[in-house]
Amino acid sequence: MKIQKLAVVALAAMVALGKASVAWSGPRPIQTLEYFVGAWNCSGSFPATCRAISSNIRFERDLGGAAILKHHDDGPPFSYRAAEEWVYDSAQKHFLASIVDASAGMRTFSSDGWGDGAFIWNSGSDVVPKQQFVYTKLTDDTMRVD
Amino acid sequence: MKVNRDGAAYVVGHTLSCKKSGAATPAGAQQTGGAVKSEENNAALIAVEHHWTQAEIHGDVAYVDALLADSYRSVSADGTAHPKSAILASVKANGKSNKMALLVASYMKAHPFGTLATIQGDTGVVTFYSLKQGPKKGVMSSDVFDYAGRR
Repeated sequence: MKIQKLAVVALAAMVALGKASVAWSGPRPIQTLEYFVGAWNCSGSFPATCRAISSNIRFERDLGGAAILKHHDDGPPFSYRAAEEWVYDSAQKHFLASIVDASAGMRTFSSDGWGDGAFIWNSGSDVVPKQQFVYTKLTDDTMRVD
Repeated sequence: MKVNRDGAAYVVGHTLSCKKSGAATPAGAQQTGGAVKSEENNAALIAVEHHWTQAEIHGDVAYVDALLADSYRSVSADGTAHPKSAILASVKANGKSNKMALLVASYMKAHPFGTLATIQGDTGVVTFYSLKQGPKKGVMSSDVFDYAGRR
């Protein structure tokens, strides 16, 4: 939402996703997430119940490379579906993610980036109780998500 | 629940072992794939919109610059048009303090709103409406997205 529209009723505006490019002096932090780009087939379980689960996850570049878009779809009998946008916040100097699931819930996460072979998202203050997602790189084409 | 390195408790959803099966389909290429894909794309559009808000609040000029078309105009209810350059200047100013973040948080608390997203072809519209009045009579604002150059 446009901030300027918060205080007033506004009319439609035209926006193009990623129309402009951004000049960077070195490797862009978002490029450290290139590892994820692609389609992933996942299987696992819920620790609390030991119920098996399968998921399809897709990562795509977006905004001309300034963002990573993730789609997460659980397989039957589960119906969780979420879209996530991952970006690097150059002002705060950390990564940010917005997660929207099919029930219209919206959550915000932040990350300091890769560390010890893992990329960790921690939920923001808007998420209670706290949530955490840990993406652990095992090989070039295998990872674990906790 | 599990305990993180810093001792904080976190909710554990599930544990997944994943194997990369190939390249992902470019964003936006699945808009005609039925209700599920439509739902996904709508959710993705709302996520982008949410990030836009956060970027403006916290002064992420690079993100807003990458998002907005050079010809972007924001039109207020009184007819005033705000060019992209003015918006980027405002974003930069927002990054210098938490004043805007507090203002927005206060406004959102006082004006609970719902969000709707629709996509037709390469055009997406995100509409914010008053939860009190509903989407038919309480539209607060709308943002229009054009999916350009596979981005």
